[in-house]
Parts: sequence; C-alpha cells; structure tokens
Amino acid sequence: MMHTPKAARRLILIAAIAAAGIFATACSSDSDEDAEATAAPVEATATLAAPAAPAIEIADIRARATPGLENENSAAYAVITNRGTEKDRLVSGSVDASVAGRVELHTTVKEGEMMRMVQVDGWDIEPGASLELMPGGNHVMILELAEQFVVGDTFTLTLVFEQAGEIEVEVPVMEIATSGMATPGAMN
Amino acid sequence: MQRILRRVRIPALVGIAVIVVALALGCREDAPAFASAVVEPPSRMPEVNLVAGDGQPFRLSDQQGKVVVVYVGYTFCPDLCPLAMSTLGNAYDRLPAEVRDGVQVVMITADPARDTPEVMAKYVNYFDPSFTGVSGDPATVLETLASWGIHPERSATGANGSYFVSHPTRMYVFNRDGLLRLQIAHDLEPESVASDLELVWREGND
Repeated sequence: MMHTPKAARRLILIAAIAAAGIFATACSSDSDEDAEATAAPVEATATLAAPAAPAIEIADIRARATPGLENENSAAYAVITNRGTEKDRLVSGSVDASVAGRVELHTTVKEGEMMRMVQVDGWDIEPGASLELMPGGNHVMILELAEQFVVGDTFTLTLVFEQAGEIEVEVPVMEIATSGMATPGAMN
Repeated sequence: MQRILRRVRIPALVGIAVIVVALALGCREDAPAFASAVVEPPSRMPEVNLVAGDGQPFRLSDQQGKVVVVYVGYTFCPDLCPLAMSTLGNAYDRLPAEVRDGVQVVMITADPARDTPEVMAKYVNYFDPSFTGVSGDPATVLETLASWGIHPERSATGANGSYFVSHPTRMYVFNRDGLLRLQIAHDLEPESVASDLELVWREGND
C-alpha cells in the first residue's frame, strides 16, 4: 500500500509506452499500406531471390483482352525491376499450350508516319533499374491463343531471365486503355 | 453641362470598347481548340470503294453528312491497333447521343490477305457494334491505301507463317462534306478524341 503512488506512476509509464507503441504501429502500418497502393497490387508482384541470383520483381502485369477471332494474339505489359546487384536480361517467355501457341518479345517502333512491330531477343535490366513493358512500346506478345482472352481471366506466364532464371507470374486479363502508353521509339 | 457629359461620354465609350474587345479576345481564347492536327483547308482524299463487313459495297462518298473516322490497321496487330480501336470505342461512348448518331467509325484493313470483310466485321464489333470494318479484294485494298499514301509492309514471316504489317500512326477524320479535316495521333486520350470529333461535327452544324 505504501508503494501505491510509485506503482501507479509505473503503471502510467507502462500505459504511455504501450500507447506510444500502438500509435507507432498504427502509423507504420498506415504508411505500409500507402507504399503498397502506390507501388503495385500485391498479387501482381512476384519476387524470386534465388541464392546468389539477382532478385527480379514483376509488378503491374496484365494482358489485353481480345475480340475472339481465330488465331488471334494478345500482349502482356508489366514493370520489371532488377532489385539485385548484377545486370539481368529478360530473354524469353512461355505459356502452357492450353493458353497459347507461343510467346515472343516485341517492340513497336515508329518509322516516319508508320508503326511496325519488331521482334527482339531480350531487354537488359541494370541493377536498380526497371524495364517498362507498355502499350505502344515493348511488350510480351502471346500468339496463337487457344481461347479468347476475356476480362477477368488469368493465366500463368513464365518469363525467363539470364540471371534469375524462370519466374512464373499469374497474369490477369484486362481491358487495356490508351492511357499510360509508351512513346514508341523512333527508328531510322 | 454638355461639355461635362461629352467629357464623361468619350471615356465611357472608350471603356465600353475596351471591354467589348477584351471579351471578344477572351472568348476567342476560351473557344475549344483541336487536340489533333488540323488539315487546313480541309482536303478531299481519293475515293474508297471497297467491301464492308456485311458484304455490301463501302464508299467513303456514301458517308457524306456524317463525320467519318478512318483507322487503318489489321486484326493480327497485337499492340497498337486494338489500343487505337479501344480509344475510338471509348471516345464514341463519350459523345452526346445527337453527335454519336452523326459519327461513323471505319477501320480499313492494312492486311487484306488475312482480314476478309467477315473478319473485319467481327473485329470492329468487339469495340462497338456501330463500327464498320472494311476490306475487299487484296489488290484493290492496297491500291486504295496507296492512293492515300499508305504503303503497308509485311515483316519477315515468323513461326507458322505469321507476319506483322506496318500501318499509319494517325487516324483520319472527315467532316460532313467528306473532306479530310483532322489527323488524330494514335495515342491521343479518348477525352480529347471525343472533344475533337464533336468539334468537327459542330462545324457542319453551326
């Protein structure tokens, strides 16, 4: 009983520390949510940190819905970031035969007043840099679709990197709009 | 007394004149401007006499009275053509109903060897049921495009005989008199495309 004031003081101190702790966690979880919202949807992010291999992060991946013609194709877009310390390179992709016949890497180029498609054998991604696959620019082309790509569908795309190896990602099919288009590289 | 009135009147008149001029200039600045490249004066393009998706003849001259948007692309096009068509579909939806009825979107294939009128019909229908897909005898389609200065080139043939085709970066907008009025960049936002189409439509209406 003699110790009540001291005990009370101690309790108040503990409560204050606890409150501060709660505030701190609340604040930090808030900012975590913000970071996720601005960075990329969680489900669209795949990270592979194989031992001694650069970590590749794939964000904002999506493929274009298609009209449903025979032998049609689609394109997948994403932001691929090299979180590792070594240069990496996206060299190819593949999908299951139940999705499409083949996958190629292409870039859309502007030549004078005309646009055309050029197949490429890969894109380098420097450490800390991002490769942007965007409408009107670099894209992963998915050819000979087995079935129409309908908004809401998803499929598994395997992307192959020189250093990081194979990375599987779930790709949602979306209506792809003009906004956020790349400025196609000029070619002479 | 009269002198005083005159003294007051002259500055007042000058003041009113200044306000009127300022308003006029202000209005001119407020007048909506085209986001697209304007063809001045509007020019006539060579006739298009091909086949629409329903198998009926398609002539550009038959569309007079409407604002016509012509996009030249192809259905195997994986990246830009579907984006351009989505933009047109989105822009079309944004138009007020009275304007929409006076606007016809047409896609002419740059790849007539693969894109038959039926394929074109199915393709454009995906973007909007009112859009017209146009193809025809391949030689005639390519001659028509050449008369517009468009020379689609095929890429090297890839696996399974697939190939890509080069196509114009711009869409053509014809006014209600059938004259080329605008060239829309393929990456223009749907809002701006809609606003430009409405402006061309209103030009013929005022």
